[in-house]
Amino acid sequence: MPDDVLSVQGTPGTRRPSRFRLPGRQRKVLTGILLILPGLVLIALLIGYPFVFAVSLAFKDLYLVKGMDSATWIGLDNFRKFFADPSTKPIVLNTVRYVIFSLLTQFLVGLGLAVLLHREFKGRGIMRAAALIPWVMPTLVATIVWRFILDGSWGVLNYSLIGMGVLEKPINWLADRNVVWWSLIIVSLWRHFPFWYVNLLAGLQVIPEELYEVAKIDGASALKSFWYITLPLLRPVIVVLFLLETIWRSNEFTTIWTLTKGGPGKASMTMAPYVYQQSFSFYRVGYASAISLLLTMAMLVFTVIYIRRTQLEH
Amino acid sequence: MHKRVSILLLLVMVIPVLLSACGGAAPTVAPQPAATSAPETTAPEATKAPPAQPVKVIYLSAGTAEVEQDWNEKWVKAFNDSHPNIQIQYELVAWADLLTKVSAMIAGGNPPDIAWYAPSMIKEWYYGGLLEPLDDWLPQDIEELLPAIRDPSASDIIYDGKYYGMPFCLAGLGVIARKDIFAEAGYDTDDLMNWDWAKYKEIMAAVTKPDKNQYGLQFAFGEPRISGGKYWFLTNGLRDVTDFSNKEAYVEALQYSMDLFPYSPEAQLQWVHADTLTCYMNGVCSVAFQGSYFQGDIIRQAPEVMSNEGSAVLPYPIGPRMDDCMVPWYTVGWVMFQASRNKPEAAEVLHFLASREAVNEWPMNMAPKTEITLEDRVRASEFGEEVRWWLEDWYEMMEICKPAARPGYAPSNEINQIYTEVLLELYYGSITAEEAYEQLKAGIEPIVIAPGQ
Repeated sequence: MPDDVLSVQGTPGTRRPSRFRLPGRQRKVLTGILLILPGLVLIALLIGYPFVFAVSLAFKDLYLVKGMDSATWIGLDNFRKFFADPSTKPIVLNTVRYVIFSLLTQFLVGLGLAVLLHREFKGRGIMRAAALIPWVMPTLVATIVWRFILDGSWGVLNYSLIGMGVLEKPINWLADRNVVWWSLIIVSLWRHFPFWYVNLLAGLQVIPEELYEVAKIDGASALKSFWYITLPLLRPVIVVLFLLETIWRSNEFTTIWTLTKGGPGKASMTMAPYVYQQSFSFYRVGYASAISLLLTMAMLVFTVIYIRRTQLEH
Repeated sequence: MHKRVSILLLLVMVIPVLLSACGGAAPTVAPQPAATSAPETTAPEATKAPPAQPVKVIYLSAGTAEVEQDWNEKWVKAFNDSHPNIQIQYELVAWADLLTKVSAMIAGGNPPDIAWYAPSMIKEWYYGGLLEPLDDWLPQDIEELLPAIRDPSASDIIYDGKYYGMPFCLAGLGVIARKDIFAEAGYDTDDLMNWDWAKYKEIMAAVTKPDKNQYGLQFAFGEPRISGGKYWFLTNGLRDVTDFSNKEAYVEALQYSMDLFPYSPEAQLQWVHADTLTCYMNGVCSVAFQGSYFQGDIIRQAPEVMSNEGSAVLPYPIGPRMDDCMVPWYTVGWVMFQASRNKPEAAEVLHFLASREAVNEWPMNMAPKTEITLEDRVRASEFGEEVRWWLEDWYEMMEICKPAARPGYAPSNEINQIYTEVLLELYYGSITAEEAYEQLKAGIEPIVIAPGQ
């Protein structure tokens, strides 16, 4: 059926061109627009409006203590203040450090566990399920439990290590500014390694077994097979995991806030808790919006890479 | 095609902008009522016909403890049952979220009518222009309140000569000491009502035994709201941490904090409120800087510690610039918001909740109204006779020592954070007390909106 049949009246021989007739291609586009319009409106309402509002706040000095109507347009002052603040550099470095060490430790443990649990052995199903427990526990509950474990005065970890003779005196896992980072990374590792392990295991399961058999016939060692077969074929999964986890760990809030509130002092403060503190504790909403906008822009880079990569794979 | 996509994207961007232009405006606030048109809150039903739909009064409570919730629910129900034309919509909000929640509700066009206040919060709300003065709405209640509250001229509820709060709770602050640990070190808590800084330091040194994981005190650096050491400003003749009027007194207070650091556990650097309770309960800390609400926090877990035999209530040790002991006090109560759309009804709710019957049943702490006696408080407490010794000690201490109002300061969270970070540098020994004074002055003075009055 020709495209324009639906838009004409009368018979083809006698009809006059309608004022409302659209060429077929345009009509298709219009239909498409009408179909996606409800979705677009929802996106505009639920994402677009808050986003635009937050962006507009980043250029204002809204400070709740001075009232809801205290906001005036201040241009880039919030951004200037952020870059001029001496605490900015350590907070940004803390965030980078937290992301890098969290990702590396989680990758190594997740990969090791995935390789281990990929093998056939008795009780493998139970082990695979058990390894997921940290991931399914609510973050807040898990972190509060970790607070008790890591307390320097009555924590279970010190008690156990001293009891076993590993330590002579207690370590202030959360109170010592030289140690607090390792505590945060350990808790982050415990909480998030299952996500890596599950995805890497799924990646391992689709690698054809024949590749390993051929390599074995050619005399390749297990290590070489891992290096030249497993890792290259897992690369797409690893890259996606690194991208997603970079975004998620950069926005990490609950673990850090519940364990240390960014302390002692600002020793373990990262960007996401800092935004929360500025906004909901100090009520400097405009300033917090500016910082969160910068964080969003940084994360946008990783998001774009992730989307492009996903599109390439498809 | 690209053009159409561009138009579509433009549409997606324009809609939010239009919406943001429509929303987010400051709410319209009704004019304040004149004194002559103030509602007669004592007999409102007799003067006007009940509306078809009951008026909804939004009440935000920060009373998250079980006994607080029970009390609130009981009196909200009593009000709703007896006032068919007004219904209270009761909502529970944690203290930490209260200002944000109120601001969000006002911005969203659904302002709350009344809420709980604490000293710093009422100050922040007042300076934010969010509060409605109660003088015109509840003249009778205010008149009754005046002689009852302690030293109203220095109270946390009066600003520019007007009353903005209706208190239901009076809390005192002091030192709670473990009698067993003090006795072991050779000190009787009965002899310490007039102790000074030197005596206190001597005792803290005597009870500190790191090998036994036993210390004198803790500063709780992990939660700036409660970080210790702020008391030393009060006990050295200063108003609070924002009072830079006397540099010598301020530096002395900071130096005294430094002198006490060796008698506190290192793990305190990340301790929050719950840890301070644990520390006292398990005997790692010999004292707790606490308020008259403290007993209820730990009596369930450690009844033997929180007993007349286990603990003593003492005033803060006095500094070199004080002659006599003093007990800081503050109130907790209700405020009405300027954005409230139902002020007459909200006033009626406040009048009801602030009645002697309701306030008398408040299950914790002391009462701001002096007509409510110790016996009343014992009867109201969920712990019954177990609370008697505790309240007796507090009432006695407030008789012996000078009551000192603690009106709070704003913005409290930010100031507390600055103070805690500087105190931490003192703890690490990276700055001196003098340098700490300069840093605090430079950090706090530019942001303080309302120095304590």
